[in-house]
Amino acid sequence: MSIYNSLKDSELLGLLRSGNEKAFAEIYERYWGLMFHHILKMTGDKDETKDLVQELFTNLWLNVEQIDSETNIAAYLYVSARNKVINLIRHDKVKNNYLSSLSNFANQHQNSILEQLSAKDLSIAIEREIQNLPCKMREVFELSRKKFRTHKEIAEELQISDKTVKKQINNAIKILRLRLNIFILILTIYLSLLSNTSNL
Amino acid sequence: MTGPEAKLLLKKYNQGNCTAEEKALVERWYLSESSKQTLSEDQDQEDFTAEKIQMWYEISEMSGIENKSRISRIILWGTSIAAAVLITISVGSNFFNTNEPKLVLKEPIPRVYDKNPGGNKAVLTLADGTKIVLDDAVNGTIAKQGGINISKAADGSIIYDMPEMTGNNSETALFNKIETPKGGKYQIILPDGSKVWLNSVSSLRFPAIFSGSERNVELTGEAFFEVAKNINKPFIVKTNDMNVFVTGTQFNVMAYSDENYSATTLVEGSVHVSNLNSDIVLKPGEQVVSNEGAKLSKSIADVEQNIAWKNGLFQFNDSDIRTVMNQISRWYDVSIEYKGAVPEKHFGGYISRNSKLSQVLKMLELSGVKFKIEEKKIIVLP
Repeated sequence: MSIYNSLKDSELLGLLRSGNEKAFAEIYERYWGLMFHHILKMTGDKDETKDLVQELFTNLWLNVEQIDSETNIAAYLYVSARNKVINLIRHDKVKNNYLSSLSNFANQHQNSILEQLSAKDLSIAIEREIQNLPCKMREVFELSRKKFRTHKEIAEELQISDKTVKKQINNAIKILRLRLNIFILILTIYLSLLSNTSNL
Repeated sequence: MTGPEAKLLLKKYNQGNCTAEEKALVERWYLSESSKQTLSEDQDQEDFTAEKIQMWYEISEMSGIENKSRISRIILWGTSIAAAVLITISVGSNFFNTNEPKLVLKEPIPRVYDKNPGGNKAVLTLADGTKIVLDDAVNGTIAKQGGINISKAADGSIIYDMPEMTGNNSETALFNKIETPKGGKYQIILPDGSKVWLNSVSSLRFPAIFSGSERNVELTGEAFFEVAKNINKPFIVKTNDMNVFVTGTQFNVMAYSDENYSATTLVEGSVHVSNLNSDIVLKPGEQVVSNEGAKLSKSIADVEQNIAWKNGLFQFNDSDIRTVMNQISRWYDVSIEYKGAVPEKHFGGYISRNSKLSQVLKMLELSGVKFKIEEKKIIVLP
């Protein structure tokens, strides 16, 4: 298995800054679930979520020179995601009634002074997001982050190796095969129509 | 605050024009919202693996990542999914482009599994446990340790620079370890100026400063040594089943645990090789072989073949199939399986280690070996 998945976030960021594609792939592997889950939870819309998550990682790769080498990747991704979700909210692209919730919140705290979020608050928030991930997603994330295991070792430790991991991959293949089959079907019809017209 | 005011506040937030107080308000509110929101029940049960894969493909396309399929493989765990995604995306988007009057089908994606050759890859572990990935990425100083400057040259080799001798060498030695994975190799210049070429799946443990009266290093796997001359401080390579004792010379040590023997081959100078039972002195062109802890035996070596790996070649001379396949396994990071009887053929010839896996296998097929190739696995047929 690749040596990259045994690296810490800070080491991956260092490699990422020098343009290392495998480090980028590993960051994607590690944080995709957390980001996807958070944004989907906030927006409730799968298509918007896909767009935002895609932007999030594309920007990370393209703007990495501007990211300080001391930056915490998780915090960076969380803050970027928050900005994107807020942007959606203010453009009324999210059904949830966030604007009235914000004005209520503001009114409630009218007379109190709110402190800025500290780096610690942020990491607590991220930790909570991790704890709220769907069960298997969370276990996989925590093992990859804290113990720096390979996928195979994770699977073995969770004792989901040949069953769940394989099942998850098989599900993905099934969906893709189905799409492919539908496509081939349409293609065949299209081709036969095409040959019919040229025969005329 | 009213709804429109809330919207205005978020706009200011996005544009970075908030006061500290407003910023705190928005962020605290967002935090409280994110702890309230949950996925819908359907979404909670949904498996998003397909989305993850498809998005990775699109991200790497947009980010101009060159070797998509190679990286995809890390994420996809299998080319079959990758191929399916590629077909769905690339052919699919062509098909639905109604402005094109003609249907253009792309070349089918080859499903034959292939691999690029290995390259400069290793992990350096410092005495304090810090791990540094060594590949072609960063050059220059990579670490400082006990007053020693560790840097990486443009050709990828690691150099240990000792400052002017302080005279205080009594401290406990700081041990470093360099390890190559499957598909990796690395060159390192030790603190005494000795050069070491490390083959795949190998490790070398060495002190950051050679204090004391000996220069001790420990090897697993295979390495070629060009030891800097110092008659007063012998250089000793320890492996599982032998010790190689030199003062300044060039030699190769092969001590892979999955080969059924280990060997030291002398190119230049002179070496002592010993284990518990014996002690042998080698002349250039000679080789000592140790078979599982038994007595050491000396013979004339095919030097060129023994150090071919260091010169970028696979070279075989009357080698059996296991010897050949073991080398392929280590360099291309594939596993080998034998179905039925192991072919008794012997092989001779050479091919560049820069070849793709398929080219090497094709050459062996010409010699009459049959293979079945699966993802990361080569099955040798009888």
